[in-house]
Amino acid sequence: MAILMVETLDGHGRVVQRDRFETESRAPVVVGRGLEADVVVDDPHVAVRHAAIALDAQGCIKVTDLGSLNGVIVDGRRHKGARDLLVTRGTLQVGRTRLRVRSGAEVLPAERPDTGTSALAGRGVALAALGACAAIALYSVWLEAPPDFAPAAALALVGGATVSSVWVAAWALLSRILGGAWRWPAHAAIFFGVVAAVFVIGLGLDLTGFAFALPRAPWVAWLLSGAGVAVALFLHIMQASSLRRRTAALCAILLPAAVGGTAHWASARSEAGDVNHIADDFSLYPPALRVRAAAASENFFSEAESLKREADAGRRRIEAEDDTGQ
Amino acid sequence: MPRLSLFDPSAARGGRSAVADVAFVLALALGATSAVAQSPAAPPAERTVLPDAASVSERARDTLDRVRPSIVQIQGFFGANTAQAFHGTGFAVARGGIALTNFHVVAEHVLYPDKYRLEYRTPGGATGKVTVLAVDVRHDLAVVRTEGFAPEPLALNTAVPPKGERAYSIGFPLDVGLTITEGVSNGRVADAFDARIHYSGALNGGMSGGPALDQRGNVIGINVAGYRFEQLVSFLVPAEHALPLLERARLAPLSAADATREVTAQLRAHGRALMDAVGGAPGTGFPVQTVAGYDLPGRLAPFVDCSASGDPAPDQPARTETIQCGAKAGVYVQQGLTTGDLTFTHYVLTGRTLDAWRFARRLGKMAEATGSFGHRRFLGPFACRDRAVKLSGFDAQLLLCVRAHRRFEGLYDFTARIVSLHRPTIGFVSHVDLYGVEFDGGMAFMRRFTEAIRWRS
Repeated sequence: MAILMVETLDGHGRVVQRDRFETESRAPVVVGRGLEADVVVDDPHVAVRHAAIALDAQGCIKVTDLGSLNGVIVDGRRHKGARDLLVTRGTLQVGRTRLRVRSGAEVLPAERPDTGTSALAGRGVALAALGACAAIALYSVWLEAPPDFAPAAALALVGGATVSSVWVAAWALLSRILGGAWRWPAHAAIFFGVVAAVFVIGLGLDLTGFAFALPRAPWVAWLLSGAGVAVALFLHIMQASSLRRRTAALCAILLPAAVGGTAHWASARSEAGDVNHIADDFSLYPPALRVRAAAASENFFSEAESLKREADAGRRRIEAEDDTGQ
Repeated sequence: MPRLSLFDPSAARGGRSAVADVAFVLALALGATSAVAQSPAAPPAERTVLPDAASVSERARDTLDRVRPSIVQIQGFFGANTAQAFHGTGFAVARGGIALTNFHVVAEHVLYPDKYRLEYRTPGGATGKVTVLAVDVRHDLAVVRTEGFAPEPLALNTAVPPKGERAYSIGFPLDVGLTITEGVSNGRVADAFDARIHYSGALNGGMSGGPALDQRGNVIGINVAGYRFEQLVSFLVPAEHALPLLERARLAPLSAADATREVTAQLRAHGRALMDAVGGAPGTGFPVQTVAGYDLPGRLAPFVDCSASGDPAPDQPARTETIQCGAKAGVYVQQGLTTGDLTFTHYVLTGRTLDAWRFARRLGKMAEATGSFGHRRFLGPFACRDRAVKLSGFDAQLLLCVRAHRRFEGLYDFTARIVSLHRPTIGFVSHVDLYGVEFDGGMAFMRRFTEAIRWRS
């Protein structure tokens, strides 16, 4: 017995109608607007009896145009009067309606694992992450020691809530459009969780650098921010769409890499051409946290002798740039 | 601290200077008076009482009449333009058309002879070419030759008149014609890196390079600078500095090809003199003042001005005491470039209600650079070192940056931030900026300055 299933798809590729046929004689299934058709399509651009779909002896899906005005579209090409045309990739279009045809011989991909995102579905994670972000906002205000803490804290919380609401709402809306579900808790958990994680890791790195008197590396902040955005994007995409994990990861890495890389390049170039630019990141913490002893000042000044060579090289570089009109 | 400004020759027509702003206000006032006078509804104007002609300073009129033939306006032109780019004043000091003016009047031509040309214009309207024969960048003087114009030279009086002696200044302020202002000499400026005579009289843009005269009509100084927003605080270069320059012009006139090299050599010499003056004698410590337990460099030389201020506001979580010092030794080289100077500021922070965590944050913010202070046209980018270093009795974060001058080979700018990493709620930030000095001298100064800071527990 041969099994043939014709799925009628909407504009988003979702199945709106599914017709299943079991036949011994491999009789063709007729698609049309008329009631006598096996698959009735409500599309004014489809003929009453538009096309016939059948399985051949090898189990391949073939379509025959039954003399329609618009013919059938397979692989993006319109065929009028076609007979036993092979339906590649299992999809074809009649009028403006897309059909997906499946047979019993269809080879299905392996079942996808469903891990990692289920924990985000509940509200617990979202609320915990939200609380962490609120604490971070309050800490940031407290650190600046404003004259009046309460209004400054309120403004920071409201401002942060507004920005985060827009972000979370955008992803929830995308989820609703693509997946039919809002998934508010998951998107909120992703956003607040990633923001909190990036802050905590950044603070940890900063503190470690201060304690051990490590050289400051501005690219660490860029890398950390980029990694945070990539992780957030990946998780949001996995929640909002049915993209494969590898595709989602690729999008999540390439997008921030392209945007962040371009911004970093533009910023570095602007700083390199600015004769007043000084990378003076004085992130200070209580002196009691220092672990590594400071260098002797004579060592510092003997090493600083090389600044002459570097300053001369910088002068020559911008002179060359100006000479070439850059 | 009032801002000293040279009378930038381009300011007379730039429309952006304070001088131009004052001129604009005057024009408005004249316009309003005129409108009232023409209005038929206005009440009859009160009769204006003019001063008796005899009470007008006859000596000023006589002085002007006597020196008028020796004064010229010096004009600079960009390329082939007939509209002037800048102007100042000059006066004959030797036979054969040898005249004196300020370096800053002719600086653009000296440094860019292919782009700027100089001409003179006499009060009678005669014009001709001006050639620069010698420059003294530090004292802001230049000797020039006025081709086709060789009047009777003015006599120089190298003795600085005592305080209170009447003096006159002559020039072409704001391009409104030959003008004499009457004032008083207040002698040499005390504690100045470069010798200046304090002249209490009006000097305005365009008078730069003009002569200042005593009552006998001898030149006591050359108009050079003044405070824009103060009242009649002006400065003259003492006439004594013209003598060696005139001799140099006679023996070895400046060639256009060597001009930049000559200016560079003079700027390097100025930088060395500044470093010698503020660096203290070898083996001796810097003069320091103690604030909140820290010894901080203070008035390094008599000409270094320091001012201290505090924040008495009781509602602030930390108290800030600021000590700001400047050498006022800057040399005006050209528009947008004044160099050969030293400034430093100490911010001493004492936490009142701040804990160590927030105190450190506030101290770090104070160390950040503020504003921009140089043009790419003249300077290269900064190269920096940043490290925690051990100083006398405490540790500090030290950021030291250096950049090279583009046109003047061998000149460097230094900037440093020294931040204490010591007490939980007491600390300081020092900003040190050193402009236009040789690398070795600048680095030695920065080291001495840094190592002079100590914690007195």
